[in-house]
Amino acid sequence: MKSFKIILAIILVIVLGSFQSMGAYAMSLSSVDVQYFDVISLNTNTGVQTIERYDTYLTAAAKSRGITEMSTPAYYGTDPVAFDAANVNDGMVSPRSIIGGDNRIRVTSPKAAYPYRAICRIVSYWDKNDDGVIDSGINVGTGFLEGPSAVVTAGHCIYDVSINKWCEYAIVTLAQNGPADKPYGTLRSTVIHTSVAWTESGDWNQDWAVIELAEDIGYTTGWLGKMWSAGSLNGTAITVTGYPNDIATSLSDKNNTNVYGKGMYMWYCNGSITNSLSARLEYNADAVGGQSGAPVYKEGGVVVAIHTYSIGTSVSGGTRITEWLYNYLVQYQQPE
Amino acid sequence: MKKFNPTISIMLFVFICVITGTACSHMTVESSPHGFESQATASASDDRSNIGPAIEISYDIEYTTAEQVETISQGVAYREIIDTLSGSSIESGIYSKLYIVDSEKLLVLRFDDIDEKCNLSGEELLSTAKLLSYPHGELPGASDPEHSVNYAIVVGENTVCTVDNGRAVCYKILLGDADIVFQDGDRADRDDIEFMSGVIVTYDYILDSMPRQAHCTKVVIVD
Repeated sequence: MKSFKIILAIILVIVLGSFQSMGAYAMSLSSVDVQYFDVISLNTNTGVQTIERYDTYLTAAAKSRGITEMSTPAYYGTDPVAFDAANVNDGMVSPRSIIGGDNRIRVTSPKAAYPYRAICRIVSYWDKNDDGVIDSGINVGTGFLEGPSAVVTAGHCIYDVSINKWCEYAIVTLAQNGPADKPYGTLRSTVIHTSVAWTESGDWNQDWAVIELAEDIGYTTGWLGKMWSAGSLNGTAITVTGYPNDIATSLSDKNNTNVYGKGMYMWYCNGSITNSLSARLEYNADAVGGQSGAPVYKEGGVVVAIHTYSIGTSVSGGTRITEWLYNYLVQYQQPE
Repeated sequence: MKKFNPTISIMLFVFICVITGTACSHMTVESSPHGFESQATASASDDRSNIGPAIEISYDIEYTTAEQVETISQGVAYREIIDTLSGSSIESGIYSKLYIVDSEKLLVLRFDDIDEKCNLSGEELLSTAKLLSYPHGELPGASDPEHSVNYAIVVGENTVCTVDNGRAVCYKILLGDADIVFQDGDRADRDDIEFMSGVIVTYDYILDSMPRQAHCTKVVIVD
């Protein structure tokens, strides 16, 4: 009987001890500022939508240890690596945004160099009157790979808040260089994700989307890295690369209406960040229609924002890689 | 002194392991995003993989002259009209084509089928064209430093045509919580923004997809 009591006491101690540990764990989780956010997804093959909740534990835990910046590196891919040294921003500030002079530079061979071959033109197709027939009107933007098969772009490229409607599907063309030059072919979306904050209220602080592809093309082309930072990024030299719709192969195309291929050639512009908001960054690099979803990246191909808007003729801006977005996007990077 | 029953000892050992293992699993830090799937919403579960791609259209607005428009005869197919005015053929899948006539008026051709016959003569088509500039002098609110203000013509659902930096462009208007009024100040709503009506659009930023999308704070229906 005495032995039995001893055994019972031991068991009780162990059980109480485990609850104590669980309690301590719960306390440590609550002591970091974890936020929750909802992501809505559309399967573009079946039309089924789902909503999932995510948290910011990764960055919250880092902050609790005094870390205020996290990044994932770029991956250059298996195609011949020719990191475009000319694209490394030398810190030259472009004080204009098709604001005075036009500082855009054409990428003449996107496939030949990283990061350009990881940047794509995106065309989304719609059925706005729900008649089962794809409309003639399309939406065009830019995107970039953030993993083997995940393309990041702007939410408004795939979800129209004016009519509360998803696109039917999107076609991604990596390193497109004109109407016919599609070195990696065209890839169709399988699942598209965006924030519930975008779909429900058109919140421009959460204007982002991820388009999943059926093919792990990123292992060939490479993908861009990303960085979350809690602080100001003002003064950081950046580059915005995408598919501007006002020009084809020459800046003078702006003034000609009959130029074929406008918006199908890749251009970049260097600049620097001028305003760091909590969920958006603003910069002085030229960007126009067609470039929504373009990566805003610093040296080494590390993305700090997704280009989404212009204000007047002096400001370009985009969705910042916030804690939410960083936590969400890390799941897509799986280097071999 | 009694000895322990081996069976009880083994059971006790297993019990302790289970308790300890459970406690350890709860202590594992999960750093990867996780989520729970809520129920599927608004499903249309038919296989959509057969919907093929549409043909792309250009958002370029073309320029023409009144003289060219006047050469169009009544009863000619829209395809032929566009060939005449554009000097080139266009792909099918387009249901609206915009022209700037003599650099000042907007002419909009709308059709359900490009081979549909137009019931209007060239002169009658010209009479439907509308001046792209604000018809009442100085544009109200144009000097607002916080916003962009444009006079525009409605050319489709939530789509307007305006002049931006000397060039005619189209963009979508995101009305959201925008204040919509008639020019006399009376309240209006979205249904009052009709095709070919002239509007003053005030917006704070514009999204850079193509077509661009202007986040409107105010729309004044002028005519």
